[in-house]
Amino acid sequence: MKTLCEISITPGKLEVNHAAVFQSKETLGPAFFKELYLEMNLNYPKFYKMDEISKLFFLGVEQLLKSGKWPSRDGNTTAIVAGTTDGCLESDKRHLANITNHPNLPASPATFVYTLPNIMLGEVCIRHRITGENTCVITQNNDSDFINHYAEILLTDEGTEFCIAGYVNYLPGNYICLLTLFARDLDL
Amino acid sequence: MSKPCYIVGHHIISSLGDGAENFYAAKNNITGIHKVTDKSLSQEPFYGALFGDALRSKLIAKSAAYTLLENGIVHCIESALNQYPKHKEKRGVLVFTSTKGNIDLLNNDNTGNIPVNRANLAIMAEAINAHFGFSNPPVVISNACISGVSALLTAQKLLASQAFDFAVVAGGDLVSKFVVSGFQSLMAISETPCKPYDKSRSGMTPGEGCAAAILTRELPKGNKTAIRIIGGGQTNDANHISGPSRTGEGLVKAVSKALAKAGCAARDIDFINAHGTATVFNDEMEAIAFNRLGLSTTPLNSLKGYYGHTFAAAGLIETIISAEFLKQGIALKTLGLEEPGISKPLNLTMENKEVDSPKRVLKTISGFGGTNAAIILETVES
Amino acid sequence: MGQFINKLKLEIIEALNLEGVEPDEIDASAPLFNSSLGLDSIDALELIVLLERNYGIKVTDPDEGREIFHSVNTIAEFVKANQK
Repeated sequence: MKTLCEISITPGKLEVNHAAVFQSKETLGPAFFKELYLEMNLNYPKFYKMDEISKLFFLGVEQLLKSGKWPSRDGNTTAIVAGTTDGCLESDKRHLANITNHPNLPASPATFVYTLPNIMLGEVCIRHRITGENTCVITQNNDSDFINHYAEILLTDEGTEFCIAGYVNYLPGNYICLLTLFARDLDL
Repeated sequence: MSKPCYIVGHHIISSLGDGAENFYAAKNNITGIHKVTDKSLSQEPFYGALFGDALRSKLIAKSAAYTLLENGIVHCIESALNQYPKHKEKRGVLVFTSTKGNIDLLNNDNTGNIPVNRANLAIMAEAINAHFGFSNPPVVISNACISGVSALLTAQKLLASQAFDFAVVAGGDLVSKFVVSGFQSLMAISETPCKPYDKSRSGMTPGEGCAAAILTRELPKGNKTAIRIIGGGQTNDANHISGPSRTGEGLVKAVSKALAKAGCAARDIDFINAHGTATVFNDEMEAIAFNRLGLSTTPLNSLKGYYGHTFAAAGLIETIISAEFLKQGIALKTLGLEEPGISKPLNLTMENKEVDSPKRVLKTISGFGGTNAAIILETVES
Repeated sequence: MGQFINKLKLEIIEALNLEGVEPDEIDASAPLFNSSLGLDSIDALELIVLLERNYGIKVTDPDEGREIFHSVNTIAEFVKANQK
């Protein structure tokens, strides 16, 4: 398989193919994500409804597909495999706080729908009309060997031309998004 | 076409009981759904399909080193491995799945001795992996409600890559306050036991369960009872994070992929076990999708009226039940259904139905995040 | 009523994460759904929670919700008529 592009988002920094393309003094997740969103000039108000890890993954994929020159008509032949350690933990804690602190009120549906680690993949699929296999894997650390191997397996399928693969994690004060855009090697 | 693999052992625990009790109950159309009045789960009573008291006590007593859910999954894996004695001399991998795992460990009032970090699915899987001493690290899949089928298909892919001889696909979910309160806020829980495809359906019934299935790349010699997995497909609707596509795009695509991988056409499917959660939108979406696929006359059922919706366990439990009844040539009654209320026709099973020369069953499932999956199984004699 | 309408708009903006939307951008008489605000079924459920949390009014039928949430004005009228 071919590597078309790599991106990384770490506190205050966005890199494409290991070169910094955007940096900010703002490192706190939500504030930095908003800055990046505005910097990217995306007109996508749904962004503001997402939880932190969904925003992070969304921004990473947005940059990846743009820099990787991904053909936007190819959503049907694109797959996603994403690893995460803490997944939707922030949303889990928010939902738990809602039901613990307000036992006589209904929970927030907008919070609850984010309490699954694969929702961040769903948001990206909606944005880019990606309909191929999308799998969320939970790993204790960034297991790029497994993720890349799995991307390779997915790309052996005739119906899959591209695969977004990587690792994304969010904790307050520490977040990372490392993504690769792979393509099937047509020479084989 | 994809490389087939074989289910050579399995075990289920659920509201219908432990192991064989599940098959007896299903054949006799007994439901595991009951009224739940436990205020620690919900201030208002609701219908759910929880483990019975005897099973719950047995799991708690099993080991103090594990949570109830972990004990349930370990029990299922032990029982399944007993059906595949050769595992001791072969290379295996645990493909583990759950949606919320040990979520109750995060509660403020958690005073148990299990470390809070076992609320993390990877750490939970590692604890179970260590118990069995599998040499490889576990693979942990968390794909909302399609997780069970997702895990089976991931295992199939890993086996085809030759890195392992067998895979233990295992997992489960419990009915917790976390999940019940969430679905209540979505107004998605039915006020009566769920009624899949019914005119008066009004939502899902939460259920709990654990299951394990042993998958091998090759059919053990002389084994005539295994089930062969011959194809699968997973897709995304790319439409909404918690509601299905109204036209069933993702499901149509998942089933089409599965049929292509299996080298089959729609007419080769003898019956279908669909998702049938009994929400207004899911069941309608499935009716549209199956009609688009040319599957409107194939006998079709949902098992949610027996088990409720067991989340990550659903894809495992329902696949195993459907495969076993395929061998017996029975498409189980769609419990809870009295009068169909979908805009396109389906051949819904109103009673247990005998299927002539049964060979293949299609199992489909859909979930939050726009996920859809389909898996096709056939009897080994086929 | 004008002050209450403005308060309600701010509550809706906050509850639905409508970042960057100002109260005077929302026409109180215009349909909330199928509008440029891009609200969906989850937002409708979130508004049901808002009514219970902020005003003590329980809406148990989502179909009833559809009528109540037609516009900011219809929500305001419903609250005034049913507030505990």
